Amino acid sequence: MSSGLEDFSLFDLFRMEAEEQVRVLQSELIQLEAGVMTAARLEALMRASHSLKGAARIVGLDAVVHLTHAMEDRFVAAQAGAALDSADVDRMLAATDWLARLQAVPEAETAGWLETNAAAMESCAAGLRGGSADAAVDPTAVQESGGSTSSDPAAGIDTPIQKAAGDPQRKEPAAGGTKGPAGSIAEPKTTARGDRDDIFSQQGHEERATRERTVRLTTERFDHLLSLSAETLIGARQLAGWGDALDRNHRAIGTALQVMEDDTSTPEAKSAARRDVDRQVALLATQISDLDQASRSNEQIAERLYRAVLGGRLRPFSEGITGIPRLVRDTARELGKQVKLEIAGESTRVDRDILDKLESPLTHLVTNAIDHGIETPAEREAAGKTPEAHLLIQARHENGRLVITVRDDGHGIDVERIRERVVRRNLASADTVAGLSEAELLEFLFLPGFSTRETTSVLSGRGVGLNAVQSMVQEAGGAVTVTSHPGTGTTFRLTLPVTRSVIRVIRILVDGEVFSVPLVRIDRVAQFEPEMRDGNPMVTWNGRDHPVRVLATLLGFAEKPLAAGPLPLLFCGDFAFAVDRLMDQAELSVRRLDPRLGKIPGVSAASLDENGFPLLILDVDDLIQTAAGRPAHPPTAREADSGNPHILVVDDSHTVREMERRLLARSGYTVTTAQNGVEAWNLLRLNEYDLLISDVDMPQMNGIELVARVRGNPRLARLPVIILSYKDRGEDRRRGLEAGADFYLTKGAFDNGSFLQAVVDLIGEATPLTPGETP
Amino acid sequence: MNETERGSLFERPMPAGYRDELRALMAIDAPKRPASLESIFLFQLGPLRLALPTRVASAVSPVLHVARIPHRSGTVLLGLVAFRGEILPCFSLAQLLDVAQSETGSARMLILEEAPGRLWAAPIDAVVGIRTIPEQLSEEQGPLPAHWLRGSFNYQSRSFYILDHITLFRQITLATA
Repeated sequence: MSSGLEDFSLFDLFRMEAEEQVRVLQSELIQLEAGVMTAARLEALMRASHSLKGAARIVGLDAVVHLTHAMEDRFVAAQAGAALDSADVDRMLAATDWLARLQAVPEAETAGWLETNAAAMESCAAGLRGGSADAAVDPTAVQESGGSTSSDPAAGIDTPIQKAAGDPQRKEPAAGGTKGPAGSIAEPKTTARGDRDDIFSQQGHEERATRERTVRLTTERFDHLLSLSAETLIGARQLAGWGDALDRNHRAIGTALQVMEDDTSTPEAKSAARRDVDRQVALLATQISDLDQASRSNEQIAERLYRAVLGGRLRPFSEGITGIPRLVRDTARELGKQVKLEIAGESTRVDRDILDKLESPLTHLVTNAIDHGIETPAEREAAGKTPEAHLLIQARHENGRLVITVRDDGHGIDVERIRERVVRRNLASADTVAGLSEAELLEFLFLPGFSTRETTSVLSGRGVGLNAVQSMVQEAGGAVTVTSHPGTGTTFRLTLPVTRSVIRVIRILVDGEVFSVPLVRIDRVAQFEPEMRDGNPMVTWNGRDHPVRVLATLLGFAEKPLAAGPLPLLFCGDFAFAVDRLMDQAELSVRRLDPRLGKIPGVSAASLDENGFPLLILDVDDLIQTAAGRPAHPPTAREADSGNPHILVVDDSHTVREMERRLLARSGYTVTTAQNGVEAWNLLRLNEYDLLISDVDMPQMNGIELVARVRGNPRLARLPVIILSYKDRGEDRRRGLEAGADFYLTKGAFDNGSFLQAVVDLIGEATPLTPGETP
Repeated sequence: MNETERGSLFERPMPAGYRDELRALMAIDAPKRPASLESIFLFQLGPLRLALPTRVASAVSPVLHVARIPHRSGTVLLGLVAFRGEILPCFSLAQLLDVAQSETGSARMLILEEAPGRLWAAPIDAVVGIRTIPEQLSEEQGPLPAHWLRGSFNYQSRSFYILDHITLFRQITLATA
């Protein structure tokens, strides 16, 4: 079979990856510049540049490797506390702009393009590296010089770009792109910032990203699909004809029966009618058997069509690793090592969605293996091994799962070194660490920023890789584990679903609603009678106690006590989930959830059942986390059930609103915002809030009116209210308090902390977010 | 006929009033165009008669099964429905507008198209019809606050209120987030 990706050169693949990562870099940088510098954001930025660096190395774009390496360095420094000012962000954006430009260059012209621009790109990288040293550069001066600091080597950047701008091949990101790269994106940058901050357009942005996903099909396969769908169409039309025939049949029998029942009919007419009925009944019998046959053949065609469409998604594993041999060769050469790569199971079929997601983690693992695991030829010989190391990448199906192993025969992972690091980084006490098993210690490798390397190289050693690998594999619905044998090598094992498009599920009834649970995530299904231990329902299975949790309660439906007697239970992980009824098994095609709904706790995807009704697929990991009392996701404004007080902020100024939101979210409150009194009133009417914070001067309905309306409503009358206004005259204050506000604060209260104090006084403190969670 | 005569035939002065006569003959009244060709969809929701542009009110379907969403289904967001093979969020327009819906349950599901590929479903009580938007809209507010409305008009001797769909979608997004 011909593959979809064979048609694409490595450069094309790099281009696709670069497109995505540049998008991440640019939007995150812009957010960073807007003053939202969070650990999560820096992590995302570092990862994007790290991934891009890996991809660029595969295609041998040294200039890009240097550029992304310099960016990554700055992000790592920022994580350690170094400052990133807007001049830095400008330089970084300039760098991403180079990457964006490179994407637009046809492959054949790349070499020439790189030659022309290499110097400028290098000086851009140098500017990034030097950026921390000349942090004192006035940002306004930087703006004027089109983004490149006039004092650093990057100033020379203008010339080649101006030349490049005249090149008809070039697609400039902005229309008037004759300035420096940063200058040319200055305009879209500001609008993008506005977009990101607006909750509506942000949603739209996510959706666009979802819609733009494409699938490549060969024309051969497409023709095959077309002919199959034509067959189903013919089948469907055949059925329509049947309706008419049955209708004639029905009418003939009706008429004949009428004649037979009519007393005025002659005996001849009656016997003729009886013969007619007999004939029609015989006809009906053949029609039923024909219909049966037609329905069977229709089902077959539909099944074939379905398999063909599904087959279009399954691709040989080899397609996902086209760049690996080159990567291994180049990396080994660069590090002065000898590596023999063996790839097994190349024809293993993998869903193309998963295949796409595999490339990056595999790149990380292979680079890691060569850099960290495999020794130099001299070291190997000294250890009694062959000078040439062996690196194996294997894909195979195992119990309906795709298992990929990456194994090297290097020196393995030094567990003592991990122990040392864990203690040094204060991740656990020395006592605890001493008691940890080897497998438990290896788990630390997947922590963000954890590395056993003392120095970082262009290749690896930042601790980004393994964490990125884990999250990418998890995103594809899989898991990654590592085993290591000192002296003989390390094995990474990635377990993934074969396809994400069709899964087998068990259907269950919860609070009168049908849900489905992926079969692979259920350990056992059984009817058991729970016994109460210390007031908690428990069941024992497989020699272990499993706490019983009512699924309806976990899903936020009715709070129901456990029914007496044996209950239908799903055993997943350490828990047994009680449901109303176990229904049946089914095969479902998985669809992503509407992005408008955000992440719904306990739900992973949606599907349609055989009657065309919507059916939600539950997220077992999420449910286990919730059952264990750990929030599976950091609380966001969307998740009002986080347990923290929920505050409604009303202000017509976007800036003030956003400032209040961030301030409160940072203190752990759940915040919803509204632009004016009318919007706020609608939200108050429909949702539960613990506190209302309102401005006074707003269009449509002002703050005083809003407060008066709240006080006049029986349900809301006792809701705490803070008025926050620029007006600080005594009469304004009196007017606000008379309307029913509990506090009247002027906007200066932000500075002296009295704003947060008033909130705490009224509704108490919230559990603050841990650093790293985005407010 | 020589050259001079032929020239004078075409160059002779126009008879008096010729120009005006010609103008009167040629002049045609420009066809009267209706002020707007925008069509609107009329429907009933509880006691209210409402209208929405047909490009927004994209389809009507028989009542669909609404699947509840854990942690989300509440007053405004009712759940998910399947329409033409797509899964859409379904919300209560009656709750959003704060009007009582008929007790017997709604008869139809209105499919709203906010943007291509961005559909919403909402139960309504009855479909009244489709017509072009009247030239004259009155400012009568009736039972709904002014910001919900683009205006109202009389049709079959009843008042219909045209919903401002931009406000509507904004409020749906806010109330279902």
